[in-house]
Amino acid sequence: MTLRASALADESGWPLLPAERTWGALRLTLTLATTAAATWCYLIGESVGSYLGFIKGGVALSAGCMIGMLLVLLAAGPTCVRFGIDSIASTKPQFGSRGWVVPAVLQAISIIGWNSLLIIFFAKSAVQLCVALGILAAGSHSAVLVPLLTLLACAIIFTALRRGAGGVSLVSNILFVHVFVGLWMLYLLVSHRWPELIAAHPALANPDRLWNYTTGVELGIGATLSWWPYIGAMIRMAPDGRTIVLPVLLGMGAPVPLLSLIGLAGALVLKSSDPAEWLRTVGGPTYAIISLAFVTAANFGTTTAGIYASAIGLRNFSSLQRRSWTTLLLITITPVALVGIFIPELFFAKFGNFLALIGVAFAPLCGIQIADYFVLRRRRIDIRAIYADRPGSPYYFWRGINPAALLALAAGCCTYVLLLNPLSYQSRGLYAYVTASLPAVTAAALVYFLASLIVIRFGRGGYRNFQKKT
Amino acid sequence: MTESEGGEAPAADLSPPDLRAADLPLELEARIAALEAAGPGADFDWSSWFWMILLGIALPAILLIIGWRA
Repeated sequence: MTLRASALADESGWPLLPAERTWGALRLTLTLATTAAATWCYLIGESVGSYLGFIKGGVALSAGCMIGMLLVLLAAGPTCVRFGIDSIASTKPQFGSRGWVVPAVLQAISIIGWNSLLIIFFAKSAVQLCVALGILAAGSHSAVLVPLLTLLACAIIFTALRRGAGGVSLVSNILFVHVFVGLWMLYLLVSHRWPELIAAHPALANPDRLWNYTTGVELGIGATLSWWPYIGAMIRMAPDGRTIVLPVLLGMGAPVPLLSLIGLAGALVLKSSDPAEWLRTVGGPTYAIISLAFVTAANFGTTTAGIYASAIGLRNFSSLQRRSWTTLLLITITPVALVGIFIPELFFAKFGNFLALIGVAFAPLCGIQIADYFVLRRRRIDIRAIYADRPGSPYYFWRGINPAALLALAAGCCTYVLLLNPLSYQSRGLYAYVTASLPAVTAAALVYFLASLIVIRFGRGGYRNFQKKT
Repeated sequence: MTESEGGEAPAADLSPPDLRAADLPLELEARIAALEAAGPGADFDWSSWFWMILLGIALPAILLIIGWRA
């Protein structure tokens, strides 16, 4: 392996060699925490605050986040960290040497969609920051400045990511402090408004206490399951499974509920999850400026990691394997820039619902990967077959697609939607006792396992290769 | 190459013979060959499982009980 090849390894979708996986636990924790902490934490907190009070909401959300993070870790973690590959490549043993396009499309829509939302948030916060600092007059030029700042942010992210994963780490090292600013903001709200916080009644609370509590857990699980597309690109930089466990569970799983408490507290006491608005109420304009700087930094860090993960995911398309890293970054970042420039308000208003629907698919995806890796393949993966798309290859299945995975994905999504409508939050059946994500994971895993027994009988999927050995 | 459980020595190569000669890009082929030679990285050892069970199952269970009673 040449030095140049090694230097460019983190810009490719190919497996990283052990010598190239140099990220330790601290570096991974910083990067994951910076990635996890963004404006969506306030939105998650606000949603929980609609159904639960501060204590119950915080506890339910924390529990849900840790459960969801464990599922993501068990699903994508082992294959990604053992072979230095990203989340999308890790789905080839389940979906097939061509069927992986399904999770790839989910990843692309999810990451590009979320990044577009976050970058618009970033631009809006930056405009508000300029107004608060007296650089701009209030209410002026927003329609022009938001697109311009979006373009500027995309240009900075593009420049940082020219360094590959090192760029993500660099941005994370600079921006990590914002997590502590977020905790300080939480302290302020809690210390100034504790009696009101405890007494506050959630606006949309259901008469059924259990339903409210379960919904808090479900929101936590759902929020962290949506990290599946991001996680592979980061943990593949670590040398082994032992190195990733605590950074993933604590670095990525813990900041989300902690920072969501800001949105939860704001929604309960001040009926607004926007920290800039309530910090102005609590501590005046200086606090509002700090808050706006926090929001700006938070979204910038997350978007940088998202663009990187998305670009690595695109590398799995053979037509993009040979393209330069610069081209790949442009392909990934251009839709984000175009949305931010031309349709920021429309996207803001309409795309959130679509992202909620897409997010439903990540629960069954995790169930499929866990069942395949731990039960069916007994932790044996054929790294050569992951990159071989030809008849006879173990992961070629039928025309490159494993119908068992598609069937299981559909079964998992249907299970979720039958239990809980992700848009209206209308629930059915046993939802209040079991959530919607956990049955979706279980149903997908079960259907995948049963359907795979038929696949194995046909001698497809490379399952018999290791069975012969054992 | 099909490898064995995390942390253990890799198993024998059981890929179909024609797959080994597949027309993969040279750099990718070199990477896969190097991984096959070195063996894959480990996935989760006992301490990893301990933390996963503690933080991903036991802690949420305890939190849920405490939260429900709060």
